[in-house]
Amino acid sequence: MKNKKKASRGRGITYLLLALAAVLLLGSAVGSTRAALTYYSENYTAEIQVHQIGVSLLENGDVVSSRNYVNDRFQETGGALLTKMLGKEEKLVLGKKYNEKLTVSNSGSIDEYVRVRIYKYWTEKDSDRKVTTLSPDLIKLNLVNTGQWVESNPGVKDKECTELYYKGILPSGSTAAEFADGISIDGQLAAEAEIKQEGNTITTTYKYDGVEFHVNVEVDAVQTHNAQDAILSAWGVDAASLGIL
Amino acid sequence: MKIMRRYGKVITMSAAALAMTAALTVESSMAYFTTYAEAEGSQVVSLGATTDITETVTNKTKHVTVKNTSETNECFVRVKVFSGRQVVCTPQGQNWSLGDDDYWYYGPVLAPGESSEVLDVTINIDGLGENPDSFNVVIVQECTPAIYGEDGTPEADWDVTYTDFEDNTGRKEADN
Repeated sequence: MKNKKKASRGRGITYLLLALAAVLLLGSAVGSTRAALTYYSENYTAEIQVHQIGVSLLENGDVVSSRNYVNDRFQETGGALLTKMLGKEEKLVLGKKYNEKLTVSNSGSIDEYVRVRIYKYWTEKDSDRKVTTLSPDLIKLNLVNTGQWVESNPGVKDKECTELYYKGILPSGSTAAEFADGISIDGQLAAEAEIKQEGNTITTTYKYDGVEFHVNVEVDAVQTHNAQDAILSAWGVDAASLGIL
Repeated sequence: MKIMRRYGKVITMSAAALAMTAALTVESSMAYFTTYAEAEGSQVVSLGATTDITETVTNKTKHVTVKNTSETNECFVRVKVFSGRQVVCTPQGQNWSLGDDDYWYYGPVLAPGESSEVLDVTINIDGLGENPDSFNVVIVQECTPAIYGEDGTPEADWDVTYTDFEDNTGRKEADN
């Protein structure tokens, strides 16, 4: 009798704990569901653009690429850089600084942190194969407003990727100070050449004749809420140590 | 052991419930709002230079012009005159000027297909006596690609020069 009572009490505790665990589990699930419902209802009822993040890359004042969250989906536009670098019939010359003003605008409805990654490299004539003997430093993208755009790896030579972090929050609807204002190709590109003479004609054949330089710019944006963790999660860097918060 | 046997199921189920709850929490905290945009651009760099020297001689004067025969690239040119010690050469020409290194520099940049003004090299052979057998006046020409300043002004960098005197680049013997 006594044993039966004991067993019954033990089962009771088990069921009680099981029920408690189920309630806990249900509670957390409801929490998530409720959060999702709240998110949608905000959009439906008042069209408050609370969660609409967006970012645009601007070249000489024109948007060349953007990705904005609108009406529950991302809307993207893509374009190319350097298309208006040269005029009609104009030929690229070494050393000349061409207008290349680059910046970022917050085209979303929430504030955000932004960073820019610039890739510079060379490819062979009529080929996609990279020229590894030419330094990316010969592609001189003139970086400006360096107090506002913090470079993660300054002073490193021959690097293909330059990372710039915008210091502080870029408010919704605003445009950041430019991070570059011009581009030129170093005359050292012509330093290696072969000379041939036939009669009175001297022909100089350059080693790097016909090579193509590339500039690729990537812009990343992340929410300002819980920024330290968000930046660490999205970009893998410690925002505090970079001094951008 | 007794406790484990009695409450084993409870502990296991509670642990499972906690793990599931924790998993749900982790998932929600990893969702951050992010976005990105990217664009790429490229341009071809066309290099290459070809120059051609023309020399004619009339009345002990050599008339020298240098032509940029490249189809695409601009360049600067300079020439140097070599002769024996007893032969005195006096170059002269519009837009030509003597540098500290005894080269004669043509000032304007030569566009593709363009020729320089004529450099007249007057040859005085009085030092050779009344009946000289022969003499040589050698003209060496060099070119360098036009390098542009940031404002687009063409400049010559003569440290980047592509010629070789030992190969007699641009050499032409003068007729007397």
